[in-house]
Amino acid sequence: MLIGSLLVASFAIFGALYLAPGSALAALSGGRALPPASVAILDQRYHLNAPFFVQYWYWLDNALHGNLGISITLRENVSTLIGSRIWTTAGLVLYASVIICVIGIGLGVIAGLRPGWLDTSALVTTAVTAAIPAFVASIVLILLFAVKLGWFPALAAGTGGGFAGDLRTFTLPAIALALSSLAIVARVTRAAIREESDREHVQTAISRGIPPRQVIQRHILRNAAIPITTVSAITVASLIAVSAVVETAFSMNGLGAYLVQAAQSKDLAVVQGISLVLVAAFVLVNLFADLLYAVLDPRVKLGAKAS
Amino acid sequence: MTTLSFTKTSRFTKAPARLGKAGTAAAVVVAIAVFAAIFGPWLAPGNPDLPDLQIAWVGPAAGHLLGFDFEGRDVLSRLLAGAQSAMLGPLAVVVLAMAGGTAFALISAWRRGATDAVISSGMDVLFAFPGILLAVLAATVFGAGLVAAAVALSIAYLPYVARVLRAAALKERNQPYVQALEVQGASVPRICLTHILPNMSRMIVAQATVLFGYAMVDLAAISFLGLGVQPPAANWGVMISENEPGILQGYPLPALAAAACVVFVVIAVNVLGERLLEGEGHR
Amino acid sequence: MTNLLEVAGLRVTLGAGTVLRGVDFAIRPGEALGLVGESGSGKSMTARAIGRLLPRGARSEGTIAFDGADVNKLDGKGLRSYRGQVAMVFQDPRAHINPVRRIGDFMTEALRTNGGVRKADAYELAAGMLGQVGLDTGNLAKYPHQLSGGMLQRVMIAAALLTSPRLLLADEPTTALDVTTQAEVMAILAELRRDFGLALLFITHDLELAAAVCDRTAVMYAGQVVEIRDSALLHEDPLHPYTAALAAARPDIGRTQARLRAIPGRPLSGFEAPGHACAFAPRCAHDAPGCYAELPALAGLDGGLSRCLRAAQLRGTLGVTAGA
Repeated sequence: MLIGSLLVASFAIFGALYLAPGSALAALSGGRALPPASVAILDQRYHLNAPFFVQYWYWLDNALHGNLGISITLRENVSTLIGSRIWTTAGLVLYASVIICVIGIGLGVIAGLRPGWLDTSALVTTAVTAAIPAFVASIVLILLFAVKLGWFPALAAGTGGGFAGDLRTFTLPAIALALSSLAIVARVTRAAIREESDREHVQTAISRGIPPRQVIQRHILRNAAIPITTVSAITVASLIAVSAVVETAFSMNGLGAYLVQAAQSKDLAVVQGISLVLVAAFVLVNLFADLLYAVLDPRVKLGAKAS
Repeated sequence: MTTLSFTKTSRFTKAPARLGKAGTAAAVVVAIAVFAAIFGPWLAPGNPDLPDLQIAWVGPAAGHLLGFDFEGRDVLSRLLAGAQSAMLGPLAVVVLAMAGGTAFALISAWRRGATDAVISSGMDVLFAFPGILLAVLAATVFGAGLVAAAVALSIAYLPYVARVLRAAALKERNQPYVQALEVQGASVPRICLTHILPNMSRMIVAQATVLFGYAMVDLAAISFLGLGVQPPAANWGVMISENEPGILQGYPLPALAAAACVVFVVIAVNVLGERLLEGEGHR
Repeated sequence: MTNLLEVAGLRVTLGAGTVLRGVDFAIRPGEALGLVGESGSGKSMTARAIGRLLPRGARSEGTIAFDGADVNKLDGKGLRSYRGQVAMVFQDPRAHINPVRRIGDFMTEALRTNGGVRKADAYELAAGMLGQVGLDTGNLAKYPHQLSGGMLQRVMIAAALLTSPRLLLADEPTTALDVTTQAEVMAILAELRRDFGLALLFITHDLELAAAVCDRTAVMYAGQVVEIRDSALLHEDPLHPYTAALAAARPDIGRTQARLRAIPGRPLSGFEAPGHACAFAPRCAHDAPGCYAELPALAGLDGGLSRCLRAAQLRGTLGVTAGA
């Protein structure tokens, strides 16, 4: 099912070429005038004289072999351009995911298990952070922690200092990216914990004298893990697109920022290439979420939707 | 033999949505934003578009409550002018997405079976496209601008609306009064438009409000990226991005003011939407 | 012989309302007591009170004594030991067994965590117990969704018996099952009771079932025990009009009736019952003005207990055989 989505998505990305006003050539060149030699190369490379589906096939085939075309502005292989930037984006998304999982799930578990002031304050805090879009969070974080307090660098240019240095550079962007998703993860976690705590099988465990810690670990947390991992995976998948905003705000050299620049300079091949990678990543994360769901819940057979 | 007439209202009686303190406050904020969107340009104390680099970054002064931005324009005036695109854009997105989503939901719920399966699968595929990505694609192909971004976003939101409304539509469609109408010979469009749709109207309004909040954030983000509303037009997202250097240089006010506007209106819209959704028995 | 379980003057309040207004009974070692009542009578809440599983915010008064010790004062090790001696079997086995863990894990969990039994030994014991309830040992590796409701209930019973309890609290164990499975499960319960010398508190809404399975039967109405009687005498010579009405209301497969003899009105829950009158009086066929003036106490009569002001007067007239 998800592979099907990917195929159709790739088709749509490719088809964007033809949605553009004017000819395919104009779209590829971004409206620039090209010397005849370049036109001939483009013709040949993109098989512009062949029927639509054949072109799609060539493009897809190339893409699967790692050849995503040439950037019209930088005159380099799109694949190379992507390759050099993908780790920045991957690192950012990974870092943000860790923050979301540790803090979001952590807060949710605490709030779920212990009703009281911690619970209400966690809810309120996350409700507030949920309303702050990533680009707003970015500038506020830059202002507070980079400019005023100087704890972290404001912009990502010139990263050095190995892993620790990278960690420092990526911290503010990762927080900005994670902030708005914290709320929903914490909220779903809390709801899941609450719901599991009230379930009858937990009563059974208590009635047999099983110590509270075991009850929490083996029954409440274990069962609540199902909806918690589902929402976490979906949230992580959604980070992939928003990373573009954070990368731009922090002047990071990642795929997202590059995508935006390419869009502004109408470099279609690059946009298509990066879009394909991003959509593929999105689909892969969702696939992973489905797999995790099937592992955690023995009632679900592989192939069924995690919904 | 008497013919039975069935009332339009469905069997589930719904309690009126209680706004409460938070909800009322939210409604007030939204009303202010709408007011600013309509009357903003006339209310502005200064000129939102005239640059004067001599007074760039100057702080708050008499008659200029929020100071000047990076090109010396009055921030408050620009905020008021920017309210227009900040509110109209999401409105267009919501109208388009809700119209399309409702149509698909109704068709899906009515036909069920194969048609439903096809539409649902189509929606699932569309889900794989995050709104921002679609907007970027649209900007590349059609050029950057509010229209392209708004249309792209509505397409990206379609599957979410369709899925949520499909559930509500199915619930209505399975009500006995619908079957009774069918038996009486009423035409399908008539049943849908004059009976099912009104009974879903509260859910539709609630969802539309929530969607407005999402659209606002996404559109502001797209404008921030430079792919939506283009400078020098006034728009809160654009203002944040063009005044971002000010933050690094010690003049954070313009960017922060614009950011505050976005955040407050989004919070208000979200709170309002949640209150309305609660009236529908949702959490 | 001292009582294994003694419940005296149990009152439970939940929030603003009173759920249990006066529960008194005792169970001797090895004895089976049925607890019968309609919805809202408080029978499940009684079981939960005994099992110390009351919901958050519930407060209880009165005493529950197990082997002479006050159950509500137990803590830590004492409580865990108590839970090992009093096992519960619940109504809906599918809801009461964790769906993501295997049957073997479910059955051996208490043994492994509390009893300090090694894993291999625990699984061996579980396999043996499965055999006792008529299930194949291969089920240990399966998941709950792979077993039928009847099989799951047998698993629940087997698991309850693994800690060698002395009292089994069965809260409507067969209500969620179809009639044939019901009979099988009841047969297994009866057999195991004999083999292990278990005392049983059997909670049900089915008066006939309780009378058939238990030595004595207690009847509850609106949060109070209204009658306790030897099961054999319950039908012919009930001591409380409610018991008689319950017995009479059940359609008899051997007789043709023109009309079902339902009890007029609807059952009251503990919340709604008046504090200073007999709760059943408005629906009672034998009510007198005095019934509305004072709250009857549980009084002894002919070896049983009845909470009816007119019990002595109505003796002999309430039985099914006496006609109604």
